[in-house]
Amino acid sequence: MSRDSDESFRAFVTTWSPGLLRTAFLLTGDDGHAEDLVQAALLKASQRWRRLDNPEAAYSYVRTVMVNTHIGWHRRRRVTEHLVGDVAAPPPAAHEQFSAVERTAAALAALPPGMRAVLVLRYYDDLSEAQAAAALGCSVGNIKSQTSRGLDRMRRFLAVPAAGADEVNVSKGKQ
Amino acid sequence: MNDDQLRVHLDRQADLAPVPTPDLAERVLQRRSASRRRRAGLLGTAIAIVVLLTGVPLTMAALRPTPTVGASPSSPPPRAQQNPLGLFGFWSVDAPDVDDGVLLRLDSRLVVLLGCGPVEGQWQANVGGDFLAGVSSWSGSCSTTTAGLPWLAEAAGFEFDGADAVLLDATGTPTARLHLSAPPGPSPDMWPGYTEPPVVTDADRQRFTGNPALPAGLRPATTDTMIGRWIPVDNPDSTPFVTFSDDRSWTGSDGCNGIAGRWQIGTGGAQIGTGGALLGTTGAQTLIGCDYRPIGAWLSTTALAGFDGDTLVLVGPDGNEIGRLKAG
Repeated sequence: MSRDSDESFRAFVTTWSPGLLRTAFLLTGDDGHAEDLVQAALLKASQRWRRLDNPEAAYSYVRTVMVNTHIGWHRRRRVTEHLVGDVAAPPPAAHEQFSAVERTAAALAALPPGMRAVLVLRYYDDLSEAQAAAALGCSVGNIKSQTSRGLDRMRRFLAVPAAGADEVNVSKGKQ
Repeated sequence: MNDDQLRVHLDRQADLAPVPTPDLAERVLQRRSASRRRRAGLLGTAIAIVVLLTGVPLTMAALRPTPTVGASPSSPPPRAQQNPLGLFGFWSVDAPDVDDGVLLRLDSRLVVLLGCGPVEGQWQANVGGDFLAGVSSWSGSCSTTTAGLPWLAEAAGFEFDGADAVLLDATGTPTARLHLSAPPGPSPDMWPGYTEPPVVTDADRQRFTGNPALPAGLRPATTDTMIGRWIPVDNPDSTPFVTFSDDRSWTGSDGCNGIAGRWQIGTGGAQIGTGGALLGTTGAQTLIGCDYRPIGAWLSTTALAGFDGDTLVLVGPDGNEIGRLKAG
């Protein structure tokens, strides 16, 4: 990259990385993995920066790379971390104290990464079915079916009522 | 859960996402550079294998980069362009006679965390891969000087090797290998500024990655033409001066306060505009008031040095002139 390209890349990162990190966090459910994912996607983008001629195109590209990279990481199931110390067990009643948002996060995390990506792109990034299909490189029909099955799984996951989760009643998909 | 509820919950969940680190772009650009170097290294290995297998009598001269502008036969080999901001961070130091656990912290200043306590100083580097460091103070029982840290004192350049950084002496020989390290964590006995992760500021970007060209009409300074005693052109009533020695040290006065530091003409060549890259560090000084000239500040902020006739002109990383000196 020339100095001008470097500068435009820095400006892009400054402006867009918070949003990318939010999407990455929803995809991975983990701070560290989200940061790794954004950095890996930005690295790929930096290598073809000259061809990403506007920030919107670059954002779409980086987001697509993030989704595909995350799915690839999951497929390889590489063990990259080893816990060498004892980890404190969560408090016994922690599950019962889950807020609705935390329960949604848990339900999302329980989905396969591809299905999770479809829901994140559709309901967080607000992409249309056609845009999500383009981002994931699949058909609109596939997006429709993944969305339907993903929502159904989440509803079933959330159908188990949590004591104290009075912020929202999620049983049977109705508030 | 309906669609709108899911949107709200995802929004609120996304609010828990971490915020990007300020140096994210620099980290990515550094990784990209390292990746390209690895590819270049693989290419070199491939060429070497081809040579071994085919017996084609290639000489190393054929693989050497084209000489850069201003390089003389006695010059060290030109370095590849580097990003000094990639040095910002904590590094564990792998060098002869350096104890385990020694950490180097680089941001706008330099701190070496030794077993006896922190040592502080200045460093300069440029996109030509030139590097210069100097120790100016210490605390605890660390009564050391720059010379007491030979891996740092002898460093005149740097390059990256994967995730490591390598400090090089004037001949290109490594003086230390630096391994990226996590911050040491807060210590009750140490100022938090020594243990906090470094942050790249706009001023740092200007200072370390500014790559100005020497203004038209100036002749690039060389080590030989710099050595000697210099005084400001507009000689005030006080007697400011600077004397550059051939051991990369300088001594001087701003007119009423003695001061000293280190200096080095860079070998970045074409990577640094038109040559004449100057790196300087300065040490502690008293603050007696008088009609002074900020000699120390001049030298620690200069990026280039050139001659307008017999006048030595110091130029900052923004390309603006800082000061003029004449032999005296």
